[in-house]
Amino acid sequence: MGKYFVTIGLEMHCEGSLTNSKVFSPAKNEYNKLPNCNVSPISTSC
Amino acid sequence: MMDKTIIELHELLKEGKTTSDELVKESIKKSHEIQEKCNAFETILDDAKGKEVTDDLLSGIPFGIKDNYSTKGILSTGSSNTLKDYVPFFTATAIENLIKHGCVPVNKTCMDEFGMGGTGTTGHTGVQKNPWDTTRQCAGSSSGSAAAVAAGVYPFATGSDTGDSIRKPAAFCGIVGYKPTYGMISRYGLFAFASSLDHCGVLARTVEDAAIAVDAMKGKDPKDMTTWDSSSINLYKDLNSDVKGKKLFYIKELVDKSNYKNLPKETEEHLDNFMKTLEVAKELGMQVDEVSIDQKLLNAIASVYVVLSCAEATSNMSNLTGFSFGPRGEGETFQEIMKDHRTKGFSSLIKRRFVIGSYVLQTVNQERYFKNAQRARRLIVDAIKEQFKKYDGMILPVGIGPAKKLVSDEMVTDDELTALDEHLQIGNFGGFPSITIPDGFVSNLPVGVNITGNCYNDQTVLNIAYALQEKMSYKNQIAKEVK
Amino acid sequence: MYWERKNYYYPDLPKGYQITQNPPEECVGNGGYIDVERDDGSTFRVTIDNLHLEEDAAQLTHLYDTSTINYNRAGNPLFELVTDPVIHSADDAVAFLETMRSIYQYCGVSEADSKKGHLRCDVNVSISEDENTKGTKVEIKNVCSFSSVHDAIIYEVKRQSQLKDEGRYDEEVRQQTRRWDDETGTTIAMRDKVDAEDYKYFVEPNIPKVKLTEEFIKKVQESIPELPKERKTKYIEKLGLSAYDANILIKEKKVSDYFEECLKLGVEAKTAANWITGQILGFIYKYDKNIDEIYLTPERLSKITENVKSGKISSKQAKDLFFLVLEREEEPEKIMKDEGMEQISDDGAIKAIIQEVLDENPSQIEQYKAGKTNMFDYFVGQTMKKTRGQANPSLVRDILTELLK
Repeated sequence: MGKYFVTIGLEMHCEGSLTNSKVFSPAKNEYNKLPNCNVSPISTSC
Repeated sequence: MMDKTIIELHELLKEGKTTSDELVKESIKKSHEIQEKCNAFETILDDAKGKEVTDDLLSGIPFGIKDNYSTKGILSTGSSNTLKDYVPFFTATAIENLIKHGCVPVNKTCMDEFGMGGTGTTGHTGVQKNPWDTTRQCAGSSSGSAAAVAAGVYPFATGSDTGDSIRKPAAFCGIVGYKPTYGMISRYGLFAFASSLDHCGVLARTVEDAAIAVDAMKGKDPKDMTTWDSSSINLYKDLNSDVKGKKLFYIKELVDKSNYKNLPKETEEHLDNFMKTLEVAKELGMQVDEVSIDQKLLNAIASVYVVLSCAEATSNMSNLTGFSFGPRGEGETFQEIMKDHRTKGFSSLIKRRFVIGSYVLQTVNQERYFKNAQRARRLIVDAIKEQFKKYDGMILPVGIGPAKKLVSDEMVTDDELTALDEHLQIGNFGGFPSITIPDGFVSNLPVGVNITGNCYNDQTVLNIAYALQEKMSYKNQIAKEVK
Repeated sequence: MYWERKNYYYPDLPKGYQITQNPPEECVGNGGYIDVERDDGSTFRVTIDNLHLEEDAAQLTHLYDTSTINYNRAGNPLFELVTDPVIHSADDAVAFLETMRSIYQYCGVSEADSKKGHLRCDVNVSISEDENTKGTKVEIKNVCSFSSVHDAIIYEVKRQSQLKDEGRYDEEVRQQTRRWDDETGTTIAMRDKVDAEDYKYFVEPNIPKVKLTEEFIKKVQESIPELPKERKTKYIEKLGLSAYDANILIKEKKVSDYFEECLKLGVEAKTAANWITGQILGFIYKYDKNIDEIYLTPERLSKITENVKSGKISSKQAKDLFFLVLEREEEPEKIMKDEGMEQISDDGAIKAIIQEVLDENPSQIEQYKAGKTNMFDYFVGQTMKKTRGQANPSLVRDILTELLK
């Protein structure tokens, strides 16, 4: 990597795409091409 | 008819002496009257229809809903301009539960904006007036519900209690206000103010009615992780006025007149009246002891409440940006749009609370304010729980006297009276079941007494209140305007 | 385990706060390590600071004069894994990420598909004189693919190195946040970390603390399926595949599953491996598909390989068939029939055609008999031409040899 000593730290975010529902709301978690379908009152507001 | 209790109305309905339609119509008519007089309602459901009468005590009976409960298809504003046109597409669990039992919502009641207030004067439609004396406040934030129930619009209405918002209005309006143990009633659909302090509850005119309503509202709800399984609890069925041998304590520092330097006359009468109530308790066979609680803890109550409730409220209300619901603000950038919506929508009182909340949550300040308030909360709760090891309940007078005047410098409570005025917040800190019942009159205006018990001991608390109610003569009283 | 609120205002955050975990106290896990294997077989260890569970924000799309918000993603579970600063090259970083992606896939936690936006990385890079000195940490946020992670690290190291060479390191390299810009292939400064936003973290009051019992943890550990490393060992040691092929097969769970399905259907390991690592992966990369989306399922592939094995078609025909199946999305056997692809394996028929070829090429026979042995291939070629490639090649050679005697 060149003449200097390189130090790298990683923060990897991975979405849990295979759960049935969202994590803190009962809305569904499935790949949906149409926007704003997998929502519940919680996801979009409070 | 609407001055009757749930049980009386149920009997009349079963016997065919009246119909649910008639009750609903009467309730709506009365709503309009009281709206004129007290400004208690955000929305009156003129099209409400009666429901089928079954064996369910609540079936066919009209009731009111505080406007911070989501009601599908019915305007729910939280008495705030940020939600002045907001019609939810779902109903709060507690309300759904009530409706399952067959009762009929007839109006949404006014409140202090989002529950943040204790006077019933900060809602966006203006001030709620006390039906006993329209120059006086109802206390808050369940001001509209309390006024409506006291005025005889219906036998009960839902309320919410974050710092005394059911239990003090009940006292000022001469009725019953019950806040069960935290988590007994689901808060799903209740506009969140301070999530660790918010409780759902009910305003009614008798302890029995309060029990019936809460029995219907309660239940473990997967949508609220803080709820617990109360299915084995039957508050109404197990009401028992035999309280012989039960032990009560009251806090010396709050109730001892000699503890105060400048005691207003009304407060003195109020404390004397409280002593009379203690005699009633003793006559019922209960042991009543005076207990000392560290004055420092008592003096901290109000500050702890302000810090914690403002902090949580600031976070909870962050979703009110006008993007996905509510009136959209104006501006070029998203920050401007958000700011505009919030500046126009919130009252200055709410803004003040947000400033406090933001301040105490800032990383540099958190340790000193927020975290210390949490520790103090724990200390206060522990001190009371220590007493609950020996006692079945804590009994105390509500507030410093009868309903305060609407326009006066009585709004600012004297420092030394603050603890007496705000001790009900202990019930929120610990999630304790807590009920206010009327116990007399001062200056011809109703005053109340409060019984608070340890978590999950709702039945005991209700029984004590029930026993007192039966012995005293303030049961099911309807507001009579005092001239 | 418990959660906290991270409070800030942004249109993609509907509640105005994100429910997350603030390490180290309440996280899903602290400490631990993963051993990562490089392509050359050597391994290195990456120690983990923490793994925590939070919720994802909504998706903002910026158009010319408006932005749109899609809330489908808001509230989806997001696993954040934070390593210690123990990685020392871009290649190692990517190897680690690939390993983690595999684990997520194999455990059924996530499809970990960057095409679907499942993966995002923040990369912290610093340079120093040697391993005993520390440099200034620069954070590159929201890098969305592993190749971008690689490029971003290379670029950033170059950028910082240049500044250090020029003696401008101390003044120019600050602890800051940068973002990777794909178009320019550079990192661009976002804001200095010093003015970091105050998130006012406090415990989420609506979610009671969750106690993870020993029993529960044990159950979860027992449910961990065969991980890529184990599968790879199996492929090499039990199935005799090369390390190279095994590596390719285990890289994506879906590919490995496809391979194992083929084995179940009776396809030989080496055959299946060749098909997958060769034609099939080539196809799906070219057309940007997933292996479980293409028409050529393990079932259909097994039909093709069966027909090659039984001699009905040649391997060259099989390759053509492969493309036709994908193109027309019809069953292999139907296409074989339609195209008349059945290999001619009838001795008599082949003999007749070879005879034709020999009859038509008398001078070439002379040359062959005179010693030009490459004429043999010429005759084979002509035979194949006459049969449009459908004659069984080994049979042709056998019969030709006979006839030329």
